[in-house]
Amino acid sequence: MSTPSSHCWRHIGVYGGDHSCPRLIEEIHCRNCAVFSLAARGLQKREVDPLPPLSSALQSTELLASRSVLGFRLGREWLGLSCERVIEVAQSRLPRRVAHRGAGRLEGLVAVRGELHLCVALIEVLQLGSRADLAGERSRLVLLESPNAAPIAFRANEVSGLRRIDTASIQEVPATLPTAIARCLSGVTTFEHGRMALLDDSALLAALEQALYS
Amino acid sequence: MSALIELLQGEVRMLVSELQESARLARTPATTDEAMARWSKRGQALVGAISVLGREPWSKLAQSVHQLSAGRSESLYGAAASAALQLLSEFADGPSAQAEAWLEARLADLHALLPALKQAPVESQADDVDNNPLIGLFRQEVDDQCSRMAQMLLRLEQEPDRLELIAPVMRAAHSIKGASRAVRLEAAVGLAHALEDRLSAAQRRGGAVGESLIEFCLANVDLLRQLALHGPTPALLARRDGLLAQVDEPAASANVAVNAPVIAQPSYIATEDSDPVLRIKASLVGRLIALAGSGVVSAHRLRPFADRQQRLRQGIAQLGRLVDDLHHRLGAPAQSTPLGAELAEVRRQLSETRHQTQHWIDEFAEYSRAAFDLNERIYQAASLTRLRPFRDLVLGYPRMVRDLARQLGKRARLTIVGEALEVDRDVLEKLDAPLTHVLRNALDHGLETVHQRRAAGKSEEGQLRIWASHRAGMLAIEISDDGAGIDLQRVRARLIESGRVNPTEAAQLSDQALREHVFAAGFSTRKEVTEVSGRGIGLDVLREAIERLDGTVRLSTRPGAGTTFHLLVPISRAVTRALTVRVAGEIYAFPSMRIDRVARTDRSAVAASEGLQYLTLAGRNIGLVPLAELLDLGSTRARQDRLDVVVVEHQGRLVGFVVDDFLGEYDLATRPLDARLGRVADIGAIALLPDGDPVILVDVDDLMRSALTRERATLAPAQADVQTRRKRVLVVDDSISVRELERQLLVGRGFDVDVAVDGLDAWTRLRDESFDLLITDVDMPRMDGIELTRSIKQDPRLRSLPVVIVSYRDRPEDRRRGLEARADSYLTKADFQDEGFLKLVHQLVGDAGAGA
Repeated sequence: MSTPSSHCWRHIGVYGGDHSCPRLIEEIHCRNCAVFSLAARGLQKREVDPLPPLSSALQSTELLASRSVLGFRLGREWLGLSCERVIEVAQSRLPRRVAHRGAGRLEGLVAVRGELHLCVALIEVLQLGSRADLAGERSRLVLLESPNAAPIAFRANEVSGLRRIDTASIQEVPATLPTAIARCLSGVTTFEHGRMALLDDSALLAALEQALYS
Repeated sequence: MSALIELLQGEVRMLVSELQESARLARTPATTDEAMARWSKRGQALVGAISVLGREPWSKLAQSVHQLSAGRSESLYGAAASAALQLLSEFADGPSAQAEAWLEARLADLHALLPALKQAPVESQADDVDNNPLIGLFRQEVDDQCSRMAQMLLRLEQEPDRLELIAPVMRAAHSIKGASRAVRLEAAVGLAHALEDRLSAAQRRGGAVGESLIEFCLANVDLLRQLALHGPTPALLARRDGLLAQVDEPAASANVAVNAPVIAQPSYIATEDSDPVLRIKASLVGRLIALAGSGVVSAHRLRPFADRQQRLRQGIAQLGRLVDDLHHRLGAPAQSTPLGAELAEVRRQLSETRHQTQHWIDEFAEYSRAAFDLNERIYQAASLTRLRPFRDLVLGYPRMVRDLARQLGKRARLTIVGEALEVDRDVLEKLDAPLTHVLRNALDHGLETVHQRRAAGKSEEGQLRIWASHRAGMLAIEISDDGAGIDLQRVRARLIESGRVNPTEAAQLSDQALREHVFAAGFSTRKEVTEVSGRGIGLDVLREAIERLDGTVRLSTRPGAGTTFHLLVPISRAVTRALTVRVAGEIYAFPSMRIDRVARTDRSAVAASEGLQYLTLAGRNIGLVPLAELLDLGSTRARQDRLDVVVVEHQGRLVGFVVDDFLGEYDLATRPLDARLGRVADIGAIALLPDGDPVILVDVDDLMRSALTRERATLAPAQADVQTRRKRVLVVDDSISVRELERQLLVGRGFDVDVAVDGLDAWTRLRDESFDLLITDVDMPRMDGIELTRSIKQDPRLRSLPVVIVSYRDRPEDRRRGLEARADSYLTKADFQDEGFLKLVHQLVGDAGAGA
């Protein structure tokens, strides 16, 4: 009886061997033979060699110091939002206006997957433009999670998708930015579309909630 | 500032003495709860007053003192509290000129006190109970078990010799005992044990179960529930001690009437279900229903695809006909010729395509039918999760009736028919108050005393019955009593007496009309207010509640025999049939049940009078109101040639709302508007249209009120020009220091300022004089800021007065309350410190005016 490691199929078997194996009379071909299949299974149960040096690169701490953000544009400004807060990015649709609330920043009601949500004119809250500017083929509706409360949506001119931002590249909020937006930011960075202002989650949510009351 | 300080000291002096009084009261168990409540109120006032100083550490001290009321009563008279009050008292008694210096000097003492105030004395039992993550489950279990035990005890009371009913109660008590031990609620362990013990003794003794035992058990069960909910508070522990001290009386003293008739009782004990009940979070169910709903919407969207395919098929058929024509035109060449062969090939391929396409179209049609069917079923099934058995609502009623009857010295029994009926969860919740109201009324006014009943030849025990059934797609509930009935002649007499109706008219009122009058607001045939059911009948409240459910209520009565209330409500609030309309380009909807009629009319049919437009329909004049403007959505975009009007009736008045366009009638699955928006006027609920678009339903009652207010305002004379005089502001607050501070701020800006000490005072001033702005606190005696704001905004003359609420209540729900009352702005006392307040004032009324 040959052991799997002796590769009998190559010596006395069919795969380049001399066909002298006695089991061939019964099995006709090595692939029908139990020794062969056992050897194959043995392959799957081998000890794995330690991974090559590439894995050590993956363990490097650089990768941990980064954030995943959703990049979107309001007016001419690109902004970044922690992706954990984002529930969905949907087709933009005109919100249903609510009676007596036209003067504030509440745009109205929108429907997303069978649920109705409040939509806030974030572009106006951050003073980056007016809601009339939010038209266009590329405009999208972003639905955000609100802790201990129902989600809130806002419309954006464009959503460029998820980006991984290296923490080291984040810089301080420039003093030149107006307060309305600066107080919601945690920093600025750059990406392929230019400057991206990174939003501070809690400040943003507070601003959105505030807009609901006014 | 020194005048302000003096005022403040006076106020603090008064508050400190009241707090000390509360601390004293807290020592006696009988007055503990009251003392805590008073401390809380005074503490809040203290916070408000101290905030005038604008010094953070002192505000913190006041807050900590106030917070003590949230803890254990012992802390009110503990060392830390006394020291804090002492410190404040010293501040109050010191010379006002040196107050600032004093505050600085004593900061060290204050800082030493703060940590002491925060430390609540540790009672390991309470801590364990509250910190235990299992406590939620424990409370739920105790609640369930207690409900079951109460039911069984009531049954036992009715049939005291059925000793086999004792065992389940003992079992329940036993499990509560074990669970209480697990969460270390020792107080409950003792109680449950006593319960088990006494019942076991009763079982062993044999013979009928005594009344006193039932009373003991019921009291025990109540107390267990309270303990699970609130933990071992001193008040509850005292009650427990009292209860356990009661001596168990032997059965001999309780010879209950064994000749109680054995009638087949409708059972109000839930039987063990083979289909167990699950606990699911409401949000999950909501999400399920929403997704199922959008599944239906998606399935609907398959229809246009199917339509398009039909057109494709027609196109191919058309093509086939064209080719046949061509074949003929070319002289029908034989297949042997090259042309003939090609044509034949074309026709063959076309035919094949036609068959395939037909085949695919049929397949698709079947698929979309199946998809539609499936999604509909999923939606229906998901919607069923909203249903609960009627039993869940009426579970506690028999007990309530029994206890209440005793309180009144009467005897009564409630039977319930139709408890298995499935009703929408929301409807069930909203029926609780009305049904309880009717039952209490029946007990208080309907049923006679035992003595009276005996004299009338009736059974001593009054019979109350609730009967729930489905009738014509609605939920019908009848609540009847076999009491004295309503004397319609007395109703007539009362109407005349109160001056509502003159004698001649009253004489002509039919029985039907008299019955309707019973539901009128403020009507009562009783002179006194009783604790049980309030002033008289108060059925207007009942009617309002039922109408809010889009239902109806009427009554039938027979003098001497009893009264029956007939309630009819839609089974599901969740689904409302509504007419959608376009308003300023938006889609809104009217609940169909509240629409009197719709009218599409020529503009020429509109008449005008006194600045108002109206239409005459079926002999009645209907005032027209443009809905878009009323809802502040913009202007009505109606067509040139015609007007679309929705006519609504409310309390005898008709109003026609002009809309852009009628759209269609739909069954809408409604849901409430997000609570964070507060209460938006004129709006009821929101929903999704079958095509997925959001739609907003109007609140008809609110809308009618707004429309009528608008009408009145149009008729009122125009305001005189007020640009040139000084603007007047009314400041309302019950704290003299806060009032003074606000007054000084505003006077400093050039305003003319008056003050009022509470809501009622302010209301009186507002009615007599005219102001440009109102600044008000919330917590005030006699009439609070919320009520004041509401009254102002509902009054046609005062509606436009800007109202700013300034309060130290800064929780979102407080802000919402203020906004719901339609205040123009809500500031917390924290916001108040900086320029924000003055900026807001400027925003609302502009500059102070001439002479500023």
